[in-house]
Amino acid sequence: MSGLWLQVLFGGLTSGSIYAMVAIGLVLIYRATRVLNFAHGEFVVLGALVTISAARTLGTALLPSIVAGVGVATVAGVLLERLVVRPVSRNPHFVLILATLAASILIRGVMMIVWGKDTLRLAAFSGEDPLRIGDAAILPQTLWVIGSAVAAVALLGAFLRHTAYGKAMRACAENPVSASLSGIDVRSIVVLSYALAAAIGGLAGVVIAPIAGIDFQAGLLLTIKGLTAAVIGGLENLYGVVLGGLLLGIVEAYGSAYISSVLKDALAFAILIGVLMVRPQGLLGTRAR
Amino acid sequence: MTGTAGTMTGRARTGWFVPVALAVASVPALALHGSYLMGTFSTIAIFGIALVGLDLVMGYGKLLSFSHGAFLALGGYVMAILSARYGVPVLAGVAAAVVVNVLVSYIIARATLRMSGYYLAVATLGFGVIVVQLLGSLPDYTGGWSGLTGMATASLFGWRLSTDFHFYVAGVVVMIGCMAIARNLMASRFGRAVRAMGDDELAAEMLGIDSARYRIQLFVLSSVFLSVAGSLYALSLRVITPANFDIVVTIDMVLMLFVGGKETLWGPVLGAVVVRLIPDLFESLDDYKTIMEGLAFLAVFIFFPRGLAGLLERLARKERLPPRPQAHRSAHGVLTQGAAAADRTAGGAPLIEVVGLAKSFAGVAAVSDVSFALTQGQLKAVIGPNGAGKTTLFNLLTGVLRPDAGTIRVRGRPLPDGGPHEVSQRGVARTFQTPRLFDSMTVLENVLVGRHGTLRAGMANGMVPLAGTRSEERQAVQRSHELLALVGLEAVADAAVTTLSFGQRRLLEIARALATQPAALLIDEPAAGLNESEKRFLGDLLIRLRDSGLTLLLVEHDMSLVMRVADEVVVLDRGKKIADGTPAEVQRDRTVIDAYLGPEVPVAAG
Amino acid sequence: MLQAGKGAGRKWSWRLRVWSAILACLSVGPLAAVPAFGQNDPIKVGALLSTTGVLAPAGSDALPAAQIFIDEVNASGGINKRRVELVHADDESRPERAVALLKRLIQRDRVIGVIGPASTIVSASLSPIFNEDKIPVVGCICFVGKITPYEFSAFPLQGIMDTLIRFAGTSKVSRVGVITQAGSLAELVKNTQLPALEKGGLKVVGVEQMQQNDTDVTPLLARLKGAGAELVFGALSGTTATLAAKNFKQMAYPGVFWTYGGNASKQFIELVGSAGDVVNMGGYKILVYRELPDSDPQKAAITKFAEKFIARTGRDPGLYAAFGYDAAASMIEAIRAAGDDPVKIRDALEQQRNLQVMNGVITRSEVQHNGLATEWIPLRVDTAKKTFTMAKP
Repeated sequence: MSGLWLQVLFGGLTSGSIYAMVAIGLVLIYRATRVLNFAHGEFVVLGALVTISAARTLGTALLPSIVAGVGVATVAGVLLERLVVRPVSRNPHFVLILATLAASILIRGVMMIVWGKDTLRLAAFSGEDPLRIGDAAILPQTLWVIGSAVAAVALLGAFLRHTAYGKAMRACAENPVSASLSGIDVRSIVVLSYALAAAIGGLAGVVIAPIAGIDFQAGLLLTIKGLTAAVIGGLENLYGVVLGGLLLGIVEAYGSAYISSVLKDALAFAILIGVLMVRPQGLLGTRAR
Repeated sequence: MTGTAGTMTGRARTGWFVPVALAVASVPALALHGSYLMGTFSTIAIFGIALVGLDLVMGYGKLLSFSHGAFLALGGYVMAILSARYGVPVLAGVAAAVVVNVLVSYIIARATLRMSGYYLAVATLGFGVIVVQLLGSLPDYTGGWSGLTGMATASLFGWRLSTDFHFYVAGVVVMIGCMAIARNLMASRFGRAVRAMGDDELAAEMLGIDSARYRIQLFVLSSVFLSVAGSLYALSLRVITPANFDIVVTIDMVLMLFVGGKETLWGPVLGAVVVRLIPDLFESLDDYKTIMEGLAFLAVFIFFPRGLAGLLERLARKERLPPRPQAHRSAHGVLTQGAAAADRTAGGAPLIEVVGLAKSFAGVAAVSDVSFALTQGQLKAVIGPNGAGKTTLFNLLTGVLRPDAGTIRVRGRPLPDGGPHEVSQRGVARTFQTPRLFDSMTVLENVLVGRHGTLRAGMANGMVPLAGTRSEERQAVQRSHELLALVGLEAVADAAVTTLSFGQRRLLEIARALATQPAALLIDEPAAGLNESEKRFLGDLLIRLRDSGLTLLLVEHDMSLVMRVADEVVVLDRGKKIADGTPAEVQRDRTVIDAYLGPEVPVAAG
Repeated sequence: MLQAGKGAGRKWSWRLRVWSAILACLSVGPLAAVPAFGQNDPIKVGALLSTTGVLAPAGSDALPAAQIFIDEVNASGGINKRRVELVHADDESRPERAVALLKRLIQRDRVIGVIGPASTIVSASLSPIFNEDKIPVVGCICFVGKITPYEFSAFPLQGIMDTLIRFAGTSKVSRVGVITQAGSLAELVKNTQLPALEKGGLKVVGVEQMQQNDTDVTPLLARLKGAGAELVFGALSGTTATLAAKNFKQMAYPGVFWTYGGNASKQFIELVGSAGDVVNMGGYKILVYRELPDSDPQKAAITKFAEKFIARTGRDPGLYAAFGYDAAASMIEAIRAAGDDPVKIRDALEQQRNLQVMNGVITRSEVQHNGLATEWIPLRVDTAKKTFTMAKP
């Protein structure tokens, strides 16, 4: 069993990077609006499905297909904000979350009609041959996912820190009232947040799809895993989110391999609850009450 | 709009609720007898019980807790296992399940106490996953994923529950009973405390409400309802599997809660009717029905954010009667009571003593080396430029913040460090710079929350109020009216807080703080936002309060008010005390003039 | 924007709200509708199959297949000149909805038998109703645990392990590592299949359990490798099977991989990609009907069915299509023999002997309510042509 721990680690990184990628968009919307977007997982799936359709049915090359997938997901994000979130925005957060939940049911229904009920697959970006390290093997696609997550966070971080729009987004997240008094159009910043989050979500779907396939149902579970990852890392912090996702994947993998594969989710959540009892704001969260 | 809050002043009018509810519930019983839908409605009635619990935690308690599926499961499985394996009768099984749920929910409540918002959501979601997975993976005890069968036919007081109709009747009776009890509870002292916490936790704490304790109690109470529902559910299904309690069911219940109308207790069961019957509505659309379901729920949340119950209330609401002019109630009694409390202080010794207080935030000293004393019966004012540390001082004095250095003594004993509610119990009350009122309640109810510390009814008395509790409530209402008369708000006692003017909100907050019968009242910038006549009224009120024996500490910017009412003035500048003396002395103090007042000082008027 | 519309808009939206509420209330009416009257003529059989939700792929295949069979029956005159009507209800993969719909099928639609469901997630909750209301069901699942009087299935349970044992023999391996899905499948495997393997002379050296939504099971496979498994038995169904196969190849596992023939579908080939070349399975004729030798007695019937299925749905029939067709066949045969008394139909179902259906031959008894014996075809995947092919013996 010498290579087992390494193989388990790779397995954990694979699933963990998926969670991290999904979590980034969730946290972006949370920071801008303090709302949990239950429909986020659907954007992930939508991006993947559109890309698959473009690549297979229309025969377009990979890169334009990805652009199409991310583009459609972005449009969906904007539509969600304008048609669902905005009319409900005056209500307490609870109602907003439920509205996004209802929207997720709607989007899922549409995807079921358009793409059917089967699981669809996208070809791996750089082939299927795994890389061997020692006794263990890792898929190149996993490296794509990890790389995308890191790149997304880095680019997003730079955007938030150095561009005018990014700074405006941060201002809105801190205090929407004073932001709007300073002349920032809070409405369009919120739309931008949703668009950006959906785009990243769509991209997440695209890089994830080659690993395990994607089907119209996958959204709900992805949303929950993404939320769990975000909470572990601390909802405020983008780096924390990636850390949280990777940790979640690794904990699940080791728990599954060394303790019990049946209780994998139960174990992961037990550890999560333990973390939150000690640090209720997540590992890198800043809210110290 | 007050919603149901307006009907909950003092005592709940349970009189009409039970008969009306029974009448409404008898409609499906008659219309659907023998139909296949009876089964669906019996499940709806049972879920109605669970939804009462969920409304308590998520609706009133405003906790994003997703653990209800797990408690439902525990209630069901304990009942099922005891019945199938050991032939335990219904009532004993339900009781055993309740005991298990109380224990587990207490543990979970304590574990998640410091978590909030989405952190709490994920933790409770995780708890649900843990329970379901454990139930599925222990086939020797629970029948595993294939489920548990073989429960004995349920029999309640000799009446055998074997058909869907029986379960409907049983479910409805228990459900209405639970609703009635819960309605009583939410109109009682306990319920007011919970609603106050949901509206503004800090303000509630400042009135002596230990929010941690109430949160735990609420959580445990709701698990009792969930447990009973789960047990009945298992009996009605005859086969119980982990899949009956998975995340889909958990999310469904939240949908039911909001579609039906949260914070009503009777609304969510209507939501259950909708959620359960919607698939039938769109069935003929085949695969398109998912889209229609999504649209239907979206429509509800966009157009009826308060749910069906909110809609029904609006349709049924008569025009609000204009407030009746009340006979002027004497405010005298109010103040003598306050004085009586103050008499307990040893004469002469300072009521509040602050020595060397210091507090920094991220390296910047908000308060440094501040010392002063407040003697009983004194009205002291704290003034200083913006950013001088006045509000930080108040937060330190009321237990909202912990000092980095220095001591605070109240009546000679150090300030308790358990949080604002302990400080309140010590006799220190406070108002805020911007009035933090409980917006879901009426004016009178806000003051009633202030009486929390002087009342004694707990959860049990709240659910089934006996004569003692009822008279206690009546007295509290009486006192609250008197306090409102004192601040001149008697005429709007039954109005929604959201309809008050800014000045009225301020006065209400003062009345509410007085309701706690404090020894010392800390008021933060009371004159801000008031017009001239309101300021005059306020000044007179403060003087009357002081004269009746109450000790007051005032933070204020309005110099004319300060000069008029204050016995002594403390001046802060950039966290340090730069002067302490009578208003006249401070007016003349050079350092003060330079820092704050400027060379021209308005002379105190009258 | 929000302020401007308030005055005039408020009245309008108020009306909208009230009307929506009224409409919503009105639509509840039809639900408690009187059962359709004057319909004594058709024989009604219920089809309780999930066409939305988690189980959608299975149900969406079984339903058109069952419909095709019913159409064939009606085309040749029905049963005693009476038309057969298939009444479909979609339980959305949810147990409590299935319960409600079953009651509706029995009470409102007055079905005399039911086809479906396609999974134990749903069927466990339905068991008491079938037995108490005395309505027989032929499902597309197999049974774990006890047999009840009114539940039957057309699911091939016997002989699966024989195929695996044979395969192990020809591959000259004897140590088997099992990877299965946690839940009722794992229970089935552990209770019935593994003992059969052991009886057949194979040694089970490890059992690993994965979850439906796992994205990587290399750690589990690594453990099996460590335990010395020469043959990895993927006791899995659907996307989990493809994942296990892919990870198996990705790790260059030193051994052979075998999984249920039930996984053989176009989707499987799609998802498994280049890892298809490691896959071995014992399959059903429906899956490679084009390759069957013309001498095969069933080829003609199967091909006819497949063509109808493709015409109706635009895709190749998968396993659940065949199950659906066979369940319908079994039920209709029983109705022919016994009339429309559900109790007698139940007896007839239990007494079916040597009934030829698409997947094989059904023989039931008091202690055997599945009874489908299949002729197994060893299959491999042709990754170039993206189809299944019969393995060279």
